[in-house]
Amino acid sequence: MQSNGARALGALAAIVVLVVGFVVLTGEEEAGEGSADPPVASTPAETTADTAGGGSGGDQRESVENPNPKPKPTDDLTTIVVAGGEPEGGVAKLDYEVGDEVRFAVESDAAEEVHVHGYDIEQEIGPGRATEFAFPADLDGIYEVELHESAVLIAELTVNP
Amino acid sequence: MIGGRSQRVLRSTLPAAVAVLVTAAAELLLPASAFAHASLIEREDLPLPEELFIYGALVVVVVSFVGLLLGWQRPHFENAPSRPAATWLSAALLNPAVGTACGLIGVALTALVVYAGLEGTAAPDRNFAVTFVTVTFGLGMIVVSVFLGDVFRAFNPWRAVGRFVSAAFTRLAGQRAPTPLAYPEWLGRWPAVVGLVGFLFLELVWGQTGFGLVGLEPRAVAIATLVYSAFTFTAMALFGVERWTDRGETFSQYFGMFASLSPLAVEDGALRLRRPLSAATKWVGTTAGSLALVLVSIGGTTFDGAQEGVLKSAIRSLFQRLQDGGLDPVAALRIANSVYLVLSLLVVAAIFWAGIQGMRIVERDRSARQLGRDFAHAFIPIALAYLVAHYFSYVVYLEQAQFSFLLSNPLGAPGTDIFGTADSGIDYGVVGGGLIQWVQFFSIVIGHVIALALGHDRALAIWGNTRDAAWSQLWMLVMMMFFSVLGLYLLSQANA
Repeated sequence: MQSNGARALGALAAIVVLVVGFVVLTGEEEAGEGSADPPVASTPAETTADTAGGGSGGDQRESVENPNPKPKPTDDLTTIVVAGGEPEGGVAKLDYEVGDEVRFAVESDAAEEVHVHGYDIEQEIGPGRATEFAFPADLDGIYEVELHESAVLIAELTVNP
Repeated sequence: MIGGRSQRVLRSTLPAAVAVLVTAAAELLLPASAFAHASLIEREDLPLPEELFIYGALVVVVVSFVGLLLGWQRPHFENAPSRPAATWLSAALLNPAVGTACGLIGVALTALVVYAGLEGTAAPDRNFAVTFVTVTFGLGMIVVSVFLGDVFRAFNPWRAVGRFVSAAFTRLAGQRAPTPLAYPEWLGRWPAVVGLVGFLFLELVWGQTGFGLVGLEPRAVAIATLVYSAFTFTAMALFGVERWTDRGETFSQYFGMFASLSPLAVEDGALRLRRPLSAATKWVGTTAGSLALVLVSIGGTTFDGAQEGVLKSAIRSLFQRLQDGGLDPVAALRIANSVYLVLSLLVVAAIFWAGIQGMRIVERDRSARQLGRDFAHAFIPIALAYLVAHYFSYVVYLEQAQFSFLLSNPLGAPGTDIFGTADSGIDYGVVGGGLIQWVQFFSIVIGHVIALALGHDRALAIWGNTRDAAWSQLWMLVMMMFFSVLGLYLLSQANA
């Protein structure tokens, strides 16, 4: 009786600990999302020119995880800068709603091809120019944007329903 | 990990699990790096809204208490009667000609997998072998089994070959093929458990992407098929074809587990209709390893879901540490994933045993091992719910590939177009993200409500009175809440 009761209590306690662990974990993460996340994307900030300098990644003017992104004004373009075969500032996060227009540009110091998965859009990129991508966000889901030759991930396109 | 040792397992795994989860939370704050995803499809599901898992757990609690305790006084599924299906249907389906044809189809598909895997393109998404084995066979057969019963038995290529060889032996030698060894009772379904872990390892660990790995290589699928076939034929030669199929053969056991939920069964060579879910307890029976098979299925899906969300950073940090320790990236990635696959299996087993220990308050005379066996069947619907929730969209996308370009061009060779569908692709718009999320949510909730119903039914059969049954099921409820929250939580964190 004793040992069984104790055992059962132990089991219950263990379950409670696990459940609480999960709840705590969720909370921590929510807190983390807004504040402590490192800059992972180039933000829709600089309008032109100086993006080639490579400073786009660190500039966190507007949260990319903005739950309700407005359709972006035409001259406010997210630019992904590829240098040495890697995206500067890490993998860019592109967030849209179905019905928005997806717009971003890619600059690269070497000739490559960019492939937007799912949407199957491919365009050549190269040094000395910014290649612009513009297409309607009509498929929801999460899609990779890759350099075709090297299969390096440069952006993650999220389209919310 | 059975009986008395469960205590020790419990004590050592739970804190470890909590530690892992907390580490995972902390490490979510580390920068994200470019870990690639599954390579067969181009779309990842959107994370499930977080508030849904609270609702999910609430629904499970309310429905189970109100529905089960008030209106459920005697067992409904236990020993439910079955009745024969129409004779013509039985005769049309269960005859030697159909049996042989199905066997031949199974053998032909297996041969195609090996041939395409060895001779076809190395790109996993363009080669018949990978999608067929991991999706059409590995997941599609589960759907078929749940609705139509143990269909795999007819298509089982290893059984077909084994039967053909024994028939040939009997004709040539004038006597039945001897079985040198008697299948030991204690071994039960354990070979199938090991086989399922191997299958999960191949899919989820070996088939990783990143660092030059392109996912599950067609060649690896072909070689695994050959190795598994050689092993199966050897075991069949030692223990007998039917005996091995009924106990040790991984896929017969794995699909048979889901077939036990179906309303169709074959008994004494005749097709019978039965109440859905009613054969689940019979499937578990007293066969060793049944519970382990159920839990491995749940644990495997848990790991796959966690890989892309909850455990992503933990795996990455272990990978980093292993790589810093001098391992090459591919080996480090595989070891890190293996560690967390095993850990996921242990966590699921630990939760189950915690619940069983709780139940022992009601029935102290029943050992934990006995109770585990008593309630194992109730977790089959959960295994199914997890699979549906995690792989619904995956199957919908990849079956388009299977029946279009992979059918017309199984080797992925330029210029081949058998049925004129080689140029079609996957339409990712065929099911919307909203529908996918509803399927995920409801499969988890419904799966757990069914699990509670089966548990309650079993408790009534064991204890005979509603009061003791209800007490024992309080613990079941705790487990169900945990598993439903876990399932929905994993979905809310995947790709988040």
